[in-house]
Amino acid sequence: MQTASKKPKAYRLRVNFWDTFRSGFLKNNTTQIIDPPSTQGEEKEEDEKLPEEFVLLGKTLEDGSVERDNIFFRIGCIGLFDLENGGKLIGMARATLDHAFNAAIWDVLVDPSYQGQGLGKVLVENLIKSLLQRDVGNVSLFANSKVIEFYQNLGFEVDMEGIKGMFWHPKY
Amino acid sequence: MLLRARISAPFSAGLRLRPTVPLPLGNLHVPASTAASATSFSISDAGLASRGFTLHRSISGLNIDHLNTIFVAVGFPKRDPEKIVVALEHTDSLIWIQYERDQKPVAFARATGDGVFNAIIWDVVVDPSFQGIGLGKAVMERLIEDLVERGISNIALYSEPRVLGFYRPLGFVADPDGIRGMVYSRKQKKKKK
Repeated sequence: MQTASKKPKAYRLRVNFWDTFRSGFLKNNTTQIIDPPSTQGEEKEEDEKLPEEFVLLGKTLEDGSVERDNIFFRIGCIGLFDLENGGKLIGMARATLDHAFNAAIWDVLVDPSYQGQGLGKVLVENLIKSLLQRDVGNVSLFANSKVIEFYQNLGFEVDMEGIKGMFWHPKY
Repeated sequence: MLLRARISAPFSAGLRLRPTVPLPLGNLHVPASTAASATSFSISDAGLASRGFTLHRSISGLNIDHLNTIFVAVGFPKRDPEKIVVALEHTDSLIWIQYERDQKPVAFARATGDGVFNAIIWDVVVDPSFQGIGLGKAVMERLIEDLVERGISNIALYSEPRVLGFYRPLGFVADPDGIRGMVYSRKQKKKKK
Protein backbone atom coordinates (compact mmCIF):
# COMPACT_ATOMS: atom_id res chain seq x y z
CA MET A 1 0.00 0.00 0.00
CA GLN A 2 1.16 3.54 -0.63
CA THR A 3 2.93 5.42 2.07
CA ALA A 4 0.78 8.51 1.84
CA SER A 5 1.63 11.76 3.42
CA LYS A 6 -1.91 12.18 4.71
CA LYS A 7 -3.44 9.90 7.33
CA PRO A 8 -4.82 6.86 5.50
CA LYS A 9 -8.54 6.27 5.69
CA ALA A 10 -10.10 2.95 6.58
CA TYR A 11 -10.68 1.49 3.14
CA ARG A 12 -11.55 -2.14 2.96
CA LEU A 13 -10.49 -3.89 -0.16
CA ARG A 14 -12.48 -6.85 -1.25
CA VAL A 15 -11.35 -9.18 -3.95
CA ASN A 16 -14.11 -11.33 -5.29
CA PHE A 17 -13.22 -13.89 -7.81
CA TRP A 18 -16.33 -15.58 -8.97
CA ASP A 19 -14.52 -18.68 -9.91
CA THR A 20 -17.70 -20.65 -9.56
CA PHE A 21 -17.11 -22.58 -12.71
CA ARG A 22 -15.27 -25.08 -10.58
CA SER A 23 -16.49 -24.45 -7.09
CA GLY A 24 -20.23 -24.18 -7.33
CA PHE A 25 -22.52 -21.25 -6.73
CA LEU A 26 -21.23 -19.91 -3.46
CA LYS A 27 -19.18 -16.83 -3.72
CA ASN A 28 -15.49 -17.34 -3.35
CA ASN A 29 -14.77 -15.04 -0.50
CA THR A 30 -11.14 -14.30 -1.02
CA THR A 31 -11.25 -11.15 1.04
CA GLN A 32 -8.08 -9.20 1.37
CA ILE A 33 -8.07 -6.51 3.93
CA ILE A 34 -5.65 -3.70 3.69
CA ASP A 35 -5.96 -1.86 6.95
CA PRO A 36 -3.83 1.02 7.96
CA PRO A 37 -2.43 0.50 11.48
CA SER A 38 -5.11 2.68 13.03
CA THR A 39 -7.84 0.20 12.22
CA GLN A 40 -6.23 -3.03 13.33
CA GLY A 41 -8.57 -4.98 15.54
CA GLU A 42 -11.56 -4.22 13.38
CA GLU A 43 -13.69 -7.28 12.77
CA LYS A 44 -13.68 -8.80 9.33
CA GLU A 45 -17.17 -9.41 8.07
CA GLU A 46 -16.96 -12.60 6.08
CA ASP A 47 -20.44 -12.49 4.66
CA GLU A 48 -20.88 -8.80 4.19
CA LYS A 49 -23.71 -8.09 1.83
CA LEU A 50 -22.44 -6.47 -1.31
CA PRO A 51 -23.62 -2.93 -1.89
CA GLU A 52 -26.33 -2.29 -4.44
CA GLU A 53 -23.85 -1.03 -6.99
CA PHE A 54 -22.63 -4.59 -7.50
CA VAL A 55 -26.00 -5.76 -8.76
CA LEU A 56 -24.84 -5.42 -12.31
CA LEU A 57 -22.48 -8.31 -11.74
CA GLY A 58 -24.87 -10.55 -9.97
CA LYS A 59 -28.16 -10.73 -8.19
CA THR A 60 -28.24 -10.63 -4.39
CA LEU A 61 -30.66 -13.24 -3.17
CA GLU A 62 -32.76 -13.04 -0.02
CA ASP A 63 -30.29 -15.00 2.04
CA GLY A 64 -27.53 -12.56 1.14
CA SER A 65 -25.68 -14.85 -1.24
CA VAL A 66 -24.96 -13.61 -4.69
CA GLU A 67 -26.12 -15.41 -7.79
CA ARG A 68 -24.12 -14.77 -10.87
CA ASP A 69 -25.08 -14.98 -14.45
CA ASN A 70 -23.00 -17.59 -16.22
CA ILE A 71 -21.54 -14.90 -18.38
CA PHE A 72 -19.63 -13.41 -15.51
CA PHE A 73 -18.15 -16.63 -14.19
CA ARG A 74 -14.91 -15.91 -15.83
CA ILE A 75 -14.55 -12.46 -14.45
CA GLY A 76 -12.47 -11.40 -11.54
CA CYS A 77 -13.61 -8.24 -9.96
CA ILE A 78 -12.11 -6.14 -7.25
CA GLY A 79 -14.04 -3.51 -5.38
CA LEU A 80 -12.98 -0.79 -3.04
CA PHE A 81 -15.39 0.25 -0.33
CA ASP A 82 -15.27 3.28 1.91
CA LEU A 83 -16.13 2.02 5.37
CA GLU A 84 -16.54 5.49 6.72
CA ASN A 85 -19.24 6.15 4.18
CA GLY A 86 -21.65 3.28 4.61
CA GLY A 87 -19.47 0.81 2.77
CA LYS A 88 -20.05 2.69 -0.43
CA LEU A 89 -18.35 1.35 -3.54
CA ILE A 90 -15.78 3.90 -4.59
CA GLY A 91 -13.57 2.01 -6.96
CA MET A 92 -13.54 -1.07 -9.10
CA ALA A 93 -11.36 -2.95 -11.51
CA ARG A 94 -12.36 -5.90 -13.59
CA ALA A 95 -10.48 -8.65 -15.33
CA THR A 96 -11.51 -11.45 -17.62
CA LEU A 97 -9.39 -14.55 -17.62
CA ASP A 98 -9.16 -18.02 -19.06
CA HIS A 99 -7.64 -19.43 -15.87
CA ALA A 100 -4.61 -20.79 -17.63
CA PHE A 101 -2.71 -18.31 -19.71
CA ASN A 102 -4.23 -14.91 -20.24
CA ALA A 103 -6.02 -12.23 -18.31
CA ALA A 104 -7.18 -8.86 -19.53
CA ILE A 105 -7.94 -5.91 -17.29
CA TRP A 106 -10.87 -3.65 -18.11
CA ASP A 107 -12.67 -0.78 -16.47
CA VAL A 108 -10.33 0.48 -13.79
CA LEU A 109 -12.42 3.11 -12.03
CA VAL A 110 -12.06 5.33 -9.00
CA ASP A 111 -14.81 7.71 -7.98
CA PRO A 112 -13.56 11.19 -8.96
CA SER A 113 -13.95 12.50 -5.44
CA TYR A 114 -11.58 9.81 -4.21
CA GLN A 115 -8.96 10.19 -6.90
CA GLY A 116 -5.46 11.40 -6.30
CA GLN A 117 -4.87 9.24 -3.23
CA GLY A 118 -3.26 6.24 -4.85
CA LEU A 119 -6.40 4.12 -4.81
CA GLY A 120 -6.19 3.28 -8.49
CA LYS A 121 -2.73 1.87 -7.91
CA VAL A 122 -3.98 -0.16 -4.96
CA LEU A 123 -6.80 -1.60 -7.05
CA VAL A 124 -4.61 -2.59 -9.95
CA GLU A 125 -1.77 -3.93 -7.81
CA ASN A 126 -4.15 -6.15 -5.90
CA LEU A 127 -5.92 -7.27 -9.01
CA ILE A 128 -2.63 -8.27 -10.59
CA LYS A 129 -1.56 -10.10 -7.45
CA SER A 130 -4.78 -12.09 -7.42
CA LEU A 131 -4.56 -12.84 -11.11
CA LEU A 132 -1.01 -14.09 -10.86
CA GLN A 133 -2.04 -16.33 -7.97
CA ARG A 134 -4.67 -17.80 -10.23
CA ASP A 135 -2.44 -19.50 -12.70
CA VAL A 136 -2.37 -16.71 -15.21
CA GLY A 137 0.78 -16.24 -17.21
CA ASN A 138 -0.02 -13.01 -18.90
CA VAL A 139 -1.91 -9.89 -17.78
CA SER A 140 -2.73 -7.37 -20.47
CA LEU A 141 -4.80 -4.26 -20.92
CA PHE A 142 -5.50 -1.41 -23.31
CA ALA A 143 -4.67 2.07 -22.15
CA ASN A 144 -5.43 5.45 -23.66
CA SER A 145 -2.61 7.96 -23.83
CA LYS A 146 -3.55 9.66 -20.56
CA VAL A 147 -3.00 6.57 -18.44
CA ILE A 148 -0.08 4.88 -20.15
CA GLU A 149 2.34 6.29 -17.59
CA PHE A 150 0.09 5.16 -14.73
CA TYR A 151 0.32 1.58 -15.94
CA GLN A 152 4.01 1.81 -16.74
CA ASN A 153 4.60 2.70 -13.13
CA LEU A 154 2.75 -0.45 -12.15
CA GLY A 155 4.92 -2.68 -14.30
CA PHE A 156 3.14 -2.71 -17.65
CA GLU A 157 5.01 -2.32 -20.88
CA VAL A 158 3.72 -0.79 -24.08
CA ASP A 159 4.11 -2.85 -27.24
CA MET A 160 6.23 -5.45 -25.52
CA GLU A 161 8.40 -7.20 -28.11
CA GLY A 162 6.68 -5.12 -30.75
CA ILE A 163 3.31 -6.70 -30.11
CA LYS A 164 0.56 -4.24 -30.96
CA GLY A 165 -2.96 -3.92 -29.68
CA MET A 166 -5.52 -3.89 -32.47
CA PHE A 167 -9.25 -3.23 -32.47
CA TRP A 168 -11.90 -4.38 -34.92
CA HIS A 169 -13.59 -1.44 -36.63
CA PRO A 170 -13.10 0.92 -33.72
CA LYS A 171 -15.61 3.74 -33.38
CA TYR A 172 -12.95 6.43 -33.61
CA MET B 1 -30.46 -6.94 -30.15
CA LEU B 2 -30.92 -10.17 -28.23
CA LEU B 3 -27.87 -12.07 -27.20
CA ARG B 4 -27.75 -15.80 -27.70
CA ALA B 5 -27.06 -17.59 -24.45
CA ARG B 6 -23.74 -19.28 -24.81
CA ILE B 7 -23.77 -22.99 -24.11
CA SER B 8 -20.49 -24.75 -24.38
CA ALA B 9 -21.43 -28.35 -23.70
CA PRO B 10 -20.35 -30.53 -22.00
CA PHE B 11 -18.70 -28.15 -19.56
CA SER B 12 -21.81 -26.22 -18.74
CA ALA B 13 -23.75 -29.27 -17.56
CA GLY B 14 -25.36 -28.43 -14.24
CA LEU B 15 -24.93 -24.67 -14.56
CA ARG B 16 -28.00 -22.60 -15.05
CA LEU B 17 -27.86 -20.08 -17.87
CA ARG B 18 -29.98 -16.98 -17.73
CA PRO B 19 -30.92 -15.36 -21.01
CA THR B 20 -28.94 -12.19 -21.37
CA VAL B 21 -30.49 -8.77 -21.57
CA PRO B 22 -30.93 -7.05 -24.91
CA LEU B 23 -28.27 -4.46 -25.71
CA PRO B 24 -29.00 -1.22 -27.44
CA LEU B 25 -27.30 -1.23 -30.82
CA GLY B 26 -25.59 2.09 -30.23
CA ASN B 27 -23.00 3.02 -32.79
CA LEU B 28 -22.13 -0.44 -33.91
CA HIS B 29 -20.88 -0.13 -37.45
CA VAL B 30 -20.95 -3.50 -39.12
CA PRO B 31 -19.75 -3.21 -42.69
CA ALA B 32 -21.84 -5.13 -45.18
CA SER B 33 -18.95 -7.41 -45.96
CA THR B 34 -19.03 -8.88 -42.49
CA ALA B 35 -22.78 -9.14 -42.05
CA ALA B 36 -24.00 -12.46 -40.74
CA SER B 37 -24.25 -14.37 -43.96
CA ALA B 38 -22.29 -17.43 -44.98
CA THR B 39 -21.97 -16.19 -48.52
CA SER B 40 -20.04 -13.12 -47.36
CA PHE B 41 -17.07 -15.11 -46.07
CA SER B 42 -13.94 -15.24 -48.19
CA ILE B 43 -14.42 -18.97 -48.42
CA SER B 44 -17.86 -20.33 -47.67
CA ASP B 45 -18.48 -23.34 -45.45
CA ALA B 46 -19.26 -25.31 -48.59
CA GLY B 47 -16.05 -24.11 -50.15
CA LEU B 48 -14.09 -25.37 -47.19
CA ALA B 49 -15.89 -28.69 -47.25
CA SER B 50 -15.13 -29.19 -50.91
CA ARG B 51 -11.46 -28.74 -50.12
CA GLY B 52 -11.62 -31.37 -47.39
CA PHE B 53 -11.96 -29.12 -44.35
CA THR B 54 -14.65 -29.12 -41.69
CA LEU B 55 -15.53 -26.32 -39.28
CA HIS B 56 -15.97 -26.82 -35.56
CA ARG B 57 -17.19 -24.38 -32.97
CA SER B 58 -16.74 -26.35 -29.77
CA ILE B 59 -13.97 -28.16 -28.00
CA SER B 60 -15.68 -31.46 -28.73
CA GLY B 61 -13.52 -33.60 -30.97
CA LEU B 62 -10.52 -31.33 -30.70
CA ASN B 63 -7.29 -33.21 -30.11
CA ILE B 64 -5.38 -31.03 -27.68
CA ASP B 65 -2.04 -32.66 -28.39
CA HIS B 66 -2.41 -31.94 -32.10
CA LEU B 67 -3.39 -28.37 -31.30
CA ASN B 68 -0.35 -28.05 -29.08
CA THR B 69 1.82 -29.27 -31.94
CA ILE B 70 0.53 -26.44 -34.10
CA PHE B 71 1.19 -23.94 -31.32
CA VAL B 72 4.78 -25.11 -31.13
CA ALA B 73 5.15 -25.17 -34.91
CA VAL B 74 4.18 -21.50 -35.18
CA GLY B 75 6.48 -20.49 -32.37
CA PHE B 76 4.34 -20.40 -29.24
CA PRO B 77 5.92 -21.88 -26.14
CA LYS B 78 4.90 -25.47 -25.55
CA ARG B 79 2.05 -25.55 -23.08
CA ASP B 80 0.78 -28.08 -20.60
CA PRO B 81 -2.15 -29.79 -22.40
CA GLU B 82 -4.19 -29.83 -19.20
CA LYS B 83 -3.84 -26.09 -18.93
CA ILE B 84 -4.94 -25.73 -22.53
CA VAL B 85 -8.09 -27.64 -21.65
CA VAL B 86 -8.74 -25.32 -18.70
CA ALA B 87 -8.22 -22.30 -20.91
CA LEU B 88 -10.61 -23.63 -23.53
CA GLU B 89 -13.23 -24.40 -20.89
CA HIS B 90 -13.09 -20.76 -19.89
CA THR B 91 -13.28 -19.49 -23.42
CA ASP B 92 -16.39 -17.82 -24.78
CA SER B 93 -15.93 -18.58 -28.45
CA LEU B 94 -13.65 -20.78 -30.37
CA ILE B 95 -13.47 -22.09 -33.86
CA TRP B 96 -11.22 -24.61 -35.50
CA ILE B 97 -10.84 -26.27 -38.83
CA GLN B 98 -10.10 -29.96 -39.25
CA TYR B 99 -8.48 -31.53 -42.25
CA GLU B 100 -10.69 -34.51 -42.81
CA ARG B 101 -8.10 -36.69 -44.54
CA ASP B 102 -5.99 -37.09 -41.41
CA GLN B 103 -8.56 -35.90 -38.90
CA LYS B 104 -6.25 -33.26 -37.49
CA PRO B 105 -6.88 -29.63 -36.59
CA VAL B 106 -5.15 -27.24 -38.95
CA ALA B 107 -6.46 -23.84 -37.92
CA PHE B 108 -7.70 -22.41 -34.66
CA ALA B 109 -8.76 -19.20 -32.98
CA ARG B 110 -10.52 -18.37 -29.74
CA ALA B 111 -11.90 -15.35 -27.93
CA THR B 112 -12.35 -14.63 -24.26
CA GLY B 113 -14.25 -11.79 -22.71
CA ASP B 114 -17.09 -10.74 -20.52
CA GLY B 115 -19.76 -11.99 -22.87
CA VAL B 116 -21.41 -8.63 -23.37
CA PHE B 117 -19.04 -5.77 -24.11
CA ASN B 118 -15.49 -6.82 -24.70
CA ALA B 119 -13.65 -9.71 -26.24
CA ILE B 120 -10.04 -10.46 -26.95
CA ILE B 121 -9.00 -12.92 -29.62
CA TRP B 122 -6.12 -15.23 -28.74
CA ASP B 123 -4.16 -18.10 -30.21
CA VAL B 124 -4.88 -17.59 -33.87
CA VAL B 125 -2.86 -20.33 -35.53
CA VAL B 126 -2.66 -22.16 -38.82
CA ASP B 127 -0.55 -25.28 -39.26
CA PRO B 128 2.45 -24.14 -41.32
CA SER B 129 1.77 -26.82 -43.94
CA PHE B 130 -1.67 -25.32 -44.50
CA GLN B 131 -0.85 -21.64 -44.46
CA GLY B 132 -1.48 -19.36 -47.39
CA ILE B 133 -4.76 -20.85 -48.54
CA GLY B 134 -7.15 -18.72 -46.52
CA LEU B 135 -7.75 -20.87 -43.44
CA GLY B 136 -6.62 -18.17 -41.02
CA LYS B 137 -8.99 -15.72 -42.62
CA ALA B 138 -11.74 -18.34 -42.51
CA VAL B 139 -11.51 -18.86 -38.76
CA MET B 140 -11.13 -15.16 -38.04
CA GLU B 141 -14.14 -14.12 -40.13
CA ARG B 142 -16.33 -16.67 -38.45
CA LEU B 143 -15.08 -15.94 -34.96
CA ILE B 144 -15.76 -12.25 -35.46
CA GLU B 145 -19.19 -12.98 -36.85
CA ASP B 146 -19.99 -15.09 -33.80
CA LEU B 147 -18.94 -12.28 -31.45
CA VAL B 148 -20.79 -9.59 -33.39
CA GLU B 149 -23.93 -11.73 -33.48
CA ARG B 150 -23.75 -11.93 -29.71
CA GLY B 151 -23.63 -8.16 -29.50
CA ILE B 152 -19.97 -7.87 -28.62
CA SER B 153 -18.74 -4.84 -30.46
CA ASN B 154 -15.40 -4.25 -28.78
CA ILE B 155 -13.14 -6.92 -30.24
CA ALA B 156 -9.43 -6.62 -29.69
CA LEU B 157 -6.31 -8.68 -30.06
CA TYR B 158 -2.55 -8.48 -29.70
CA SER B 159 -0.66 -8.86 -32.92
CA GLU B 160 2.98 -9.68 -33.46
CA PRO B 161 4.55 -7.15 -35.80
CA ARG B 162 4.91 -9.59 -38.69
CA VAL B 163 1.19 -10.38 -38.87
CA LEU B 164 -0.25 -6.88 -38.65
CA GLY B 165 -0.87 -7.19 -42.38
CA PHE B 166 -2.99 -10.28 -41.80
CA TYR B 167 -5.30 -8.55 -39.38
CA ARG B 168 -5.68 -5.24 -41.19
CA PRO B 169 -7.71 -6.55 -44.13
CA LEU B 170 -9.98 -8.23 -41.61
CA GLY B 171 -10.85 -4.82 -40.21
CA PHE B 172 -8.41 -4.44 -37.34
CA VAL B 173 -6.73 -1.15 -36.59
CA ALA B 174 -3.59 -0.81 -34.50
CA ASP B 175 -3.50 1.77 -31.70
CA PRO B 176 -6.76 3.49 -32.64
CA ASP B 177 -6.93 6.97 -31.20
CA GLY B 178 -3.70 6.38 -29.35
CA ILE B 179 -4.94 3.41 -27.35
CA ARG B 180 -2.02 1.11 -26.71
CA GLY B 181 -1.81 -2.52 -25.72
CA MET B 182 0.18 -3.09 -22.55
CA VAL B 183 1.39 -6.24 -20.89
CA TYR B 184 2.46 -6.78 -17.32
CA SER B 185 6.13 -7.49 -17.21
CA ARG B 186 7.42 -9.04 -14.04
CA LYS B 187 10.98 -8.40 -15.07
CA GLN B 188 10.38 -4.69 -14.93
CA LYS B 189 11.06 -2.98 -11.66
CA LYS B 190 8.14 -0.87 -10.51
CA LYS B 191 9.03 2.73 -9.98
CA LYS B 192 8.25 3.60 -6.40
CA LYS B 193 6.75 7.01 -5.92
